[in-house]
Amino acid sequence: MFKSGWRPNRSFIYGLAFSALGVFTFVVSNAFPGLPEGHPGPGLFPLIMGACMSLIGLALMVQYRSQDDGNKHSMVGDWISIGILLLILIVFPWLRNLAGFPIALAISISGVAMLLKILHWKAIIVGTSTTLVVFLLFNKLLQVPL
Amino acid sequence: MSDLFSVQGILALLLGGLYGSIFGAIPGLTATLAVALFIPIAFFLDPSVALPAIIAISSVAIFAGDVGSTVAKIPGTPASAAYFGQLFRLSRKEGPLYSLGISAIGSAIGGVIGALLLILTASLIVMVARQFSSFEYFWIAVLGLMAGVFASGGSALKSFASLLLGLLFATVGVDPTLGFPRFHFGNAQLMGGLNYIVAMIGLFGFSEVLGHVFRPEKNFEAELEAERSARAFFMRPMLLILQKKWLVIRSSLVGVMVGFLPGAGADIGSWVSSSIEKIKSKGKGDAEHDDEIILAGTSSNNAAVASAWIPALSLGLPGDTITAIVLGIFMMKGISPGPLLFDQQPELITSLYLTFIISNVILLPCFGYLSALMAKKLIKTPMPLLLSVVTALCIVGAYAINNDVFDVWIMAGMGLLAFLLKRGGFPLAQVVLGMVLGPILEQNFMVSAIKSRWDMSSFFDRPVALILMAATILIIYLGVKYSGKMFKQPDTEID
Repeated sequence: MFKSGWRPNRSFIYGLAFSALGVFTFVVSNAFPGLPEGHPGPGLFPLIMGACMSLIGLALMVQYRSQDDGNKHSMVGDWISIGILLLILIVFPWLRNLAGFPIALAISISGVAMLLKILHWKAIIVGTSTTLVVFLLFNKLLQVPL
Repeated sequence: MSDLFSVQGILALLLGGLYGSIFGAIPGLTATLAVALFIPIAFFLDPSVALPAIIAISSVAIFAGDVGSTVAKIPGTPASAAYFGQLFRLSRKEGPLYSLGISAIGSAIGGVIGALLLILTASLIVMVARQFSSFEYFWIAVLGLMAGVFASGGSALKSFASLLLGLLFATVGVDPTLGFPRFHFGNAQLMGGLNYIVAMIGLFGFSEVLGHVFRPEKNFEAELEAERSARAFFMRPMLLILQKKWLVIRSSLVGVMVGFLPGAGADIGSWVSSSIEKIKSKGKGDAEHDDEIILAGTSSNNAAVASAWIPALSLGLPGDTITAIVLGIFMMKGISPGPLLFDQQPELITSLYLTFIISNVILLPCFGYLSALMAKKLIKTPMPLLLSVVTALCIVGAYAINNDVFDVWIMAGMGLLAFLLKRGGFPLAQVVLGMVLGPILEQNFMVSAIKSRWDMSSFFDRPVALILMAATILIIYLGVKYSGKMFKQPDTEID
């Protein structure tokens, strides 16, 4: 199946991930109860999804095992900034409980602006002014409690 | 209908058109993203104002995607990517106002044809749909899913994978037929399922921010020529369209047919029509046929914008991601799309029809002209500043729907997933298609199976169900035979 010196391309790795997710789905949904008289119950669709995902994942792995997948998107980039950006959103709820929604949003957007390479003092202005506009739009104009 | 001509209604149309023209003109910001970011506002507006605004946004944004192509060879939307090279070349040869004029007037005519077919055929489809039972709805959902896989334009295998992911997300939470909670992992917030709108804000909005943080994209600095002649924008394109009327009609019809298929939409319509013209012009010198290729693509994509509403209104099936969002808004507002909508909300339906005509005949040419003039300023807005605002809208939008911070996490997770899927060449529209059609497919299958005491032959013994099944098989056959994509197609960026 694989030639010597073979290295998996990206589509192969995605295929592997799909297969793993399919197997996981299949195993979890197998534990769902069935209907009386042995008819399938709420687990039927997830079971089918799991089986199909495993097969599609395998097909992707076989399809792209040897050929160039033609993918033009580079995976080389700033993964640390991606991690920080996600971290900002992960801590957002705690920040909101601590300081309230507008301040939490202003701090978060200032952080995001810094990640987007806006200078520190400008990032704070961007974060504060964006929050002000969005907050006024939602809270005052649309009467949406934030 | 009176709401459409109220101050609120007219403002919604004008601001929607302006918002769409700004969004479409900026590369990376798609019509879908414009509509997705409008959701939090739409959520708190009356449907008779929110839906016309969405029509105005989508109609104008799909056209405005051509502004980036004209100025700097960077398509603003996936739909305009089908002919962006021709637009750029023509703008250098004949001036940007002429090339954008072809695009705007062609879009307007395509949009009107699509809207007329929507008006004429939606009621007919409703009459047929009244005869539908759970068996037919099951087959319609299967047909929609298969059409979505093969109409994606990229690898059908990857489309199918994206679709399965969407279908899997749709199974999270309480089972729609039997009430059994699934995949909640002890989390009470997951019991209600993954919020469809929150997921889309993440998939189409936050993923753009992640993409830029990962690898910053430069703003383009090209100058738009100061050609302000209304003749170049309106008159010359009109003359060209009169000469090429059959091409415009044909491309609009292709757009209507593609847009009608659940999951296909304007992007695919544009690609199909411009591809036909590219194939036809082969060997005759491509540059000579730039205007024809642009006309084909642009009339097709706006026709598809309108026709995507046909299955959405009459059957409750999304024709594209924008109508998928619209269906989400219907659900949020407690409106049931489908045959009953025509009886229960006739004013809303009439108002939607009128909006399509107004958007294409008045808004599109006017905002088209304005966006051509505004592009010079807009393209200089620093991308980091723009994406900071997008992030704020994503956070507030996700939070405001349920006033639940957990939704911010779901939005971020979906954004990360979309970021990874895009880098793997997987389309995003199919994830949304799966999330929308998944519950319809499952519920109608289970109801039909229980109703028929698990006699599977009952899925095949009703005439309409058989026709739908045959159509599904035909789509699979044609998809595999003619595209040859199932196992051969390399990756392409679709959304």
